[in-house]
Amino acid sequence: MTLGRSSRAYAVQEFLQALTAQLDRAQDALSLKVTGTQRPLTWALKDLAIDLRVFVEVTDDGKVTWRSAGPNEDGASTVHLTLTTITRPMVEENSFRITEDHDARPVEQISQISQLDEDDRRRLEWMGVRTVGQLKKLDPVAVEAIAGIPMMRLQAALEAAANPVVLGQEVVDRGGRTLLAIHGANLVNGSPPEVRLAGAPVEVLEAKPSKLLVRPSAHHTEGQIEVLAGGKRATGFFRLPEREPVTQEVHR
Amino acid sequence: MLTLGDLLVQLVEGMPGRVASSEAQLALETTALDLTLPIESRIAPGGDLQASLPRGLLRTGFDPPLGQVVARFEVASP
Repeated sequence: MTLGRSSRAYAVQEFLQALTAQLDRAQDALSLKVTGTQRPLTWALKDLAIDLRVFVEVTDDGKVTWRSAGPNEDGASTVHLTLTTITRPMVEENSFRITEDHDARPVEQISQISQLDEDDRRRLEWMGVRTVGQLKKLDPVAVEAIAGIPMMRLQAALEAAANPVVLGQEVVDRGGRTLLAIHGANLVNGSPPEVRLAGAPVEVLEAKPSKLLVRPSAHHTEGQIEVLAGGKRATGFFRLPEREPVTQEVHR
Repeated sequence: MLTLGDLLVQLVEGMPGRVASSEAQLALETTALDLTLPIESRIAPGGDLQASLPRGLLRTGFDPPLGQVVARFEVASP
């Protein structure tokens, strides 16, 4: 094992992701040939074992990389990889469902406003913590003991993660009415949130921690979004498409 | 060199799934295929594993060390 990264060395994670993508494509190619030729059966790859002659290296930032052994290079390691097919239920059982995460922001996003440095983020990643939602479920005392991230730093990150934030907005057309969906995090905190568009309060039709649906007033075109949730304030900007003026018939 | 996935597809697609003889009124079906192959391999930019079969007569004495692939294919419905 050597330290430092040579130009032809690639991260193990990158390699494994590329390999599984290749095998998926290979299976798709085999299936495609069958559907094209009207044959009822195809070959399916069940098990695969690969012996690779590589040099294992560790970069300065702690990433493990592999470099293929070249001609007449002595001392290469033999990496033995065994892969097998797994069923969809097994994938679902062993995967983190990001769609069910109540705060799917990547941890990097709050590290800009908290004191988590790159080393801390890498340690969290090793623990499988990639989103703010996962971070919020952690016990800072246990994390300090296991991963060595100082408790105070993690608590500060958790406080930063609890603040409401507006990440984006989209115009929603519902039954001919123009509504505004505000996307973000922690937009509901106990009591119903108050929302102002360009300084004027608006009706909140739906409220979830990651999404608010509000009804802009007729005069709203663009301006500041202001969300007050749990005594804290988050801001963003909105712009609505120009609406045709409403013509009214006057009966005399 | 091909990607390992393409190499496996090339190897397996030439394998007949069924051979039948009308004279003998007999058909044979393959149900599984086990491959054990020495390979020349290299990890390409982006992490792609590229592989090819050893060069045999074209060996130059300046070839990369050989690895190995063991693959099991079974017949299945797509």
